[in-house]
Amino acid sequence: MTEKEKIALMEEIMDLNEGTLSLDSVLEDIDEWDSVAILSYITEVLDKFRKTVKGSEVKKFVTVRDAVEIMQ
Amino acid sequence: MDKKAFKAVGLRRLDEDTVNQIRNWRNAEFVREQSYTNHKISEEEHKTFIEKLKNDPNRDLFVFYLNNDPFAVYSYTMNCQNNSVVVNNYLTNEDFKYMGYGAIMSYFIQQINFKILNVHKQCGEIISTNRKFIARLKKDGKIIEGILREHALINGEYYDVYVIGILEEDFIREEVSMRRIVHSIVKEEPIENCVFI
Repeated sequence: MTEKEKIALMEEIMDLNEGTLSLDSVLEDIDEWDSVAILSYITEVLDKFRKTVKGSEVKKFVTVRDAVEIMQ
Repeated sequence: MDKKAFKAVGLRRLDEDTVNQIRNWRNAEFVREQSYTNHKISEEEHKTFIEKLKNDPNRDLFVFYLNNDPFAVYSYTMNCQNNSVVVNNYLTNEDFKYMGYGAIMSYFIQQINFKILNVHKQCGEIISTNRKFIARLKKDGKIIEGILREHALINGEYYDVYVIGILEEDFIREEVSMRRIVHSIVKEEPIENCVFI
C-alpha cells in the first residue's frame, strides 16, 4: 500500500473527505479521532496488515505519520 | 477466556474511602474543564454534595467498575413528574480517554436509566470543550435538541452548551448496536456478570 493510500485509509477511518489529512496532521486536533476511530484503526491494521496494536499504543500517536508507520 | 465483570455500586453502598476518592476524580483537570463547576471542589463542598444526594430520593450516584477497577462516576437527578432523568458522568482517569471506556460508560448509564429507573427520557448537557464527543454525536446522527450559546464560563472564557436528549424509543432502537460496540471494545474479554448494587 502506498503512503497516499494509507493516508486515504486514515481518512476513511475517520470519515473525512479525501485530501483532509497529511502525514503531519496532529491527531489530537482532529475531532473525528476519537475512541470509535481508534477502534476502527486497530481493526483495519489487524485486517489489512496482520498486526495487533493495543489501544494504549495508539493513544501515544501524535501525528498521522505515527499511525501510518505501523501500516507495514 | 477471562471475563470482565461490570459492577455499578450506588452511593449508599460505597465505603467512605471511595466516597472521598470521588472528589479526587471529580477534581481532575480533564473533568473540570468539561464541567460547569470547574474550580477544585473542596472537602466541605464535596461533603455537602454527598449529603444532598443521600437525602434526596430523586438523586443518586454510582461508581462503575470493570473487574473491581473503578472507571466512571455517574450521578443523576430524576424528574418524576416528567419521567425523565438528567445525567452527569465522567471517567475516573484521563488514561481511560479514547480507550472506549466512554462508550462503555454511556451504555451502562442507559441500561440504568431505561431498564432500572424506567424513564422515558435521558437528558444531558455537554459543554463545547468536549469537541470530540460532540463531533461523534453529530456524526452518529444523535439529536441535539438545542445549543445554549456562551452558556458556560470556564477559565474565563464562554463556551456553548449542547443539549442532548435520548428517548426510550431511541434507546430501544440503538441498544443492540451499542452492545456490539461495547463488546468490540472489550474483544476477547466480554463483559459478563453485570451487577447493579
